[in-house]
Amino acid sequence: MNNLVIFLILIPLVASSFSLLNRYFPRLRIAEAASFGALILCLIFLGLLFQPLLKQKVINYPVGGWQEPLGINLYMDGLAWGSSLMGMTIALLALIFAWGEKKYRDNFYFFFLILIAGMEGVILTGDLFNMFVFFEILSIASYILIAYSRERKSILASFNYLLISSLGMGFFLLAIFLLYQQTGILSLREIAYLQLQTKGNLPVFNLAIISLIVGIGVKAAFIPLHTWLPDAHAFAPHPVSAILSGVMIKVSFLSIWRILRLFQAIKTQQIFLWIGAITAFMAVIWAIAQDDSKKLLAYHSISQMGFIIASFGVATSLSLAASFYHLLNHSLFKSLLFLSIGCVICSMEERDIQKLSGLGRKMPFVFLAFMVGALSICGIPPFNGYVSKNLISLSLKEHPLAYYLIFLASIGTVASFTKLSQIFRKDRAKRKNQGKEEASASRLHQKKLSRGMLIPLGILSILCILTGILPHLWTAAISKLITGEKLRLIPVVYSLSSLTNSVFILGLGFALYLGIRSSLGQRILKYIRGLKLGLNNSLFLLVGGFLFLIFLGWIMEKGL
Amino acid sequence: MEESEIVYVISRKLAPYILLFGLYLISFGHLSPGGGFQGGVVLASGVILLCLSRGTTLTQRLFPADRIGLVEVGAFSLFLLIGIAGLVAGRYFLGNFLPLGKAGQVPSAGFIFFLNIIIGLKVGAGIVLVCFYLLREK
Amino acid sequence: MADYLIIILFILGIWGMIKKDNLIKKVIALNIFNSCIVILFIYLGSRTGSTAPIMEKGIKDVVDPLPQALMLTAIVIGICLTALALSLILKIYQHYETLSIHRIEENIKQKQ
Repeated sequence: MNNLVIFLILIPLVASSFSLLNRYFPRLRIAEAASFGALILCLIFLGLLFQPLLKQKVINYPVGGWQEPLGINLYMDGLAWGSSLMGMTIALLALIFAWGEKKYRDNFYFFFLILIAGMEGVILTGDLFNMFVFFEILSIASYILIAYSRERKSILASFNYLLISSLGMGFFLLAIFLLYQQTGILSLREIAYLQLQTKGNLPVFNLAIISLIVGIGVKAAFIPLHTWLPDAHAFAPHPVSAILSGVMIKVSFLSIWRILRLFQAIKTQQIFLWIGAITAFMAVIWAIAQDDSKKLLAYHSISQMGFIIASFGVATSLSLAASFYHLLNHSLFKSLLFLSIGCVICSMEERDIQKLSGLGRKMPFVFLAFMVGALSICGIPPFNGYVSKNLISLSLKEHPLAYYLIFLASIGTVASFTKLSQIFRKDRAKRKNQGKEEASASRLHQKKLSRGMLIPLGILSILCILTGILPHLWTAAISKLITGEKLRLIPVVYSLSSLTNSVFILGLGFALYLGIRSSLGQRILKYIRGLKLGLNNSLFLLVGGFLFLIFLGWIMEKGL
Repeated sequence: MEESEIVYVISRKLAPYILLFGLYLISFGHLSPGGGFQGGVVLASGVILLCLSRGTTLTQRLFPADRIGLVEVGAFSLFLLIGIAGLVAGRYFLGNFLPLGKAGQVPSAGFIFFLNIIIGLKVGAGIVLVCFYLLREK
Repeated sequence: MADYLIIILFILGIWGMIKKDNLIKKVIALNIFNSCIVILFIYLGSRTGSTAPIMEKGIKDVVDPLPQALMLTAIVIGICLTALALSLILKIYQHYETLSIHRIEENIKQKQ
C-alpha cells in the first residue's frame, strides 16, 4: 500500500507519453482519454492512501530502494496529502474546461500532464536537489503553456517569466551549495536534524535559508518578486490561468512552509507577517486600477496570497490552520472566477471591462457561478471565503498594523469585484450617454458555450459552498491534517462581531466603488495603470529584494 | 550562406566518426567520464555538422525529422517502462533488477547501461530536432 | 584565486541580465550565471582530493563525485532553458521587428 505514493508522480508521466502517441492514432483521441484517466486514477489512489496516512502519520518511500542519506525519499504527510488533493481536483476540472473549449491539440495535454507531474514531485520529495529538478520541470511546462496561444503579449509574458524565474532558480542553487558545503548531505530532514543538533555556523545557514526563500518565492509571488505574475496569468489560455493561479503559486508557498517548519526558523517566519500584509494591501491598489478582466483577477491572486502569507507569519497553530484553509478556499474560488471569465471571453471575444455590459441576461449560468466566486472572495457568509478570512483576522488580533492593512485590503477586494461585476449588470448611466454605441456593443457576436465549459463551473460552485458550511468541522480536520494535533480552542466564526465586521467591510467597499466612478477617481486609476515595471526593473527589484532580505536577516541576528 | 568545397567534403567524411565517438561515450558511461547526456549531445553534434554545411533539407534525406521524433517518443516511453519493470519485479521504482557483473567491464552495474543508451538516444534526438527547427531556411 | 573569478562571474551574470538592452545578450548573461554556479559546485567538490573519481586499483584520493552528478543535471536544465528562450526570442522578433527591450516596451505603451 505504501507503493501508491510513487504512482502519484508516475501516472501523469506515463499518461503524457501516451498523449504523444496521439498523432499516430488521431481518431482514438488518446490524449484526452489518457489525461482524464490518469487524473481520476490519481484521485482514487489519494483516497486509498488516507487510511495508512492516519495510522502512520508520515509515509516514506525510497526511490530505487536506496535509503537516506544516500538516496531520494518521498515523504507524504498530511500537508502533502491535502495539497495533492487540491491540485488534482483543480487540474481535473481545468482539463474538463479545456476539453470543452475544443481548440487545444495533443501537445497541450502533454505539457499539462508534465505540469501536474512536476507539481506532485515538488510536494512529495524530501531531497533538496530533487526539489530543484521538479521545480524546473514545473517551470518549463508552464513557460510553454503560457506561450501556447502564440499571440504577441503571451510570448513576451512567457519570456519575462522565464528570465525572472531562472534568476530565482540560480539563487536556489546557491542555497543548495551553501547547505551542501556545511553538512555534506542533500536530504532536507537530515540537514534540519543536523542543524538543530549542532547549531553550527549560523550566518551561512541564514544566508542559505534566505536564498531558498527568494528562489522559491519568485514562483509564490510575494512582493518584491511578483512582477511576472499579472502578464503571465492574464495572457495565458483560460485553463492554464486557472491551474497556475489556483495551484502552482500555492505549491511553491507550501515548499517554503515545509522548509521553514523543518528548520524551525521562527524569526524568519515572522518576517512573512509583514511581507504578507504589504503584499495584500499594495496588490489590491493595483487591482482596482485594471481594465482588463483577467489582469484584475491576476492581481487579486497576489493579494490573496498576501493574506495566506501574513497568516502563516503569525506562528500559532490557529493561524497555520487558517492559512491552509484560506489556501484551499482560494484555489477553489480563484479557479471558479478564472474559468467563468474565460467563458465570458470565449463567447463575447472581448476582454475589456468598459466595453462589456448586460451579460447577466445572456449568460445566466455563468453569471450565477461568477457571483458565487465573487461573494466568496469578498468574504460574505455563507460562502467559504467568509470563514477563512474571519479566521485570519482573528489570528492577527495581536498585530494591529498588519490587521489594519488586511482590513483595507478586504475593502479594496469588495470594491474591485463590484467593478468587475459591472460586465454582468445593465449600465444605465452609460446607456443614457452613449445610446448608439451601447446598441452596437450589444450586437457583439455571442458564441454558444459547450457543456464541457459549464460543468467545472457548477462543480466548483458546489465545492465553494460545501467548504463554507460547518466551519468547525473543517478547521478541526485541517488542523489535525497539518500539525497532527487537535486545536484546543476553535473560535466561533458566525458570531455577532464577525458578522458586523463583514457588513462594515461590505459597506465601505461599496463606498469606495462609488468614489472610483467619479472623475477624480478615474484620473487616479489612470495614473496607477500607467505605472508599469519593465523587464530590467523587475530583475533589479528581484536582486534588490534579495539584498534587502539579507540585510534584514543581519539586523535581526544582531538583535536590533 | 556560401558553401565551400572543403567544408562540404570534410564534413561528410568526419560525421560518422563523431557519431561513433558519441556511441563510445554512451556505452562506456559507467566506467569512464561520459554517460547518457554527454554522449547524446556528441551524437547530435555529428548531425548538426552535416546540417551546418549543407542545409537542413539535404540532411533530412538521411535523418528524417519524423523518424527522429519517433525515436524521441519511443525512448521516453521505454525509460518509464524500465522504471515500472523495476517496480513490478518486487523492488522499488527504478530499482535494479538485472544482475551486477564484475566491476570494470562493460556489462556490469545492472541496468544503468540500458538507461544510458536510452537517455543518449533521447537527448540526441531532442537536440537534433531543436536545431532542425532553429536552423531551417525559409 | 578561483574565489575571485567566481564572484566576478556571478556579478557579471546578474548585471548583464539587468542592464543589457538586447534580448539575446540577456540570454547570454543567463548562461554566464548558470556557468558560474556550475564552477562553484565543482570547485567545492575538488577541494577534498586530487584525482578523478574512477575507482580503479590503488586510487585513493578522489574528488567528490556528487557535485559533478548534480551539475550534469543543472547543465541539461540550462540548455533546455536557453533553447526555449531562443525560440521565444525568434517569435518575438517576428511579431515586434526589434530585439531591443526598450523599443518593445515603448511599442506596448503606445498601443494602449
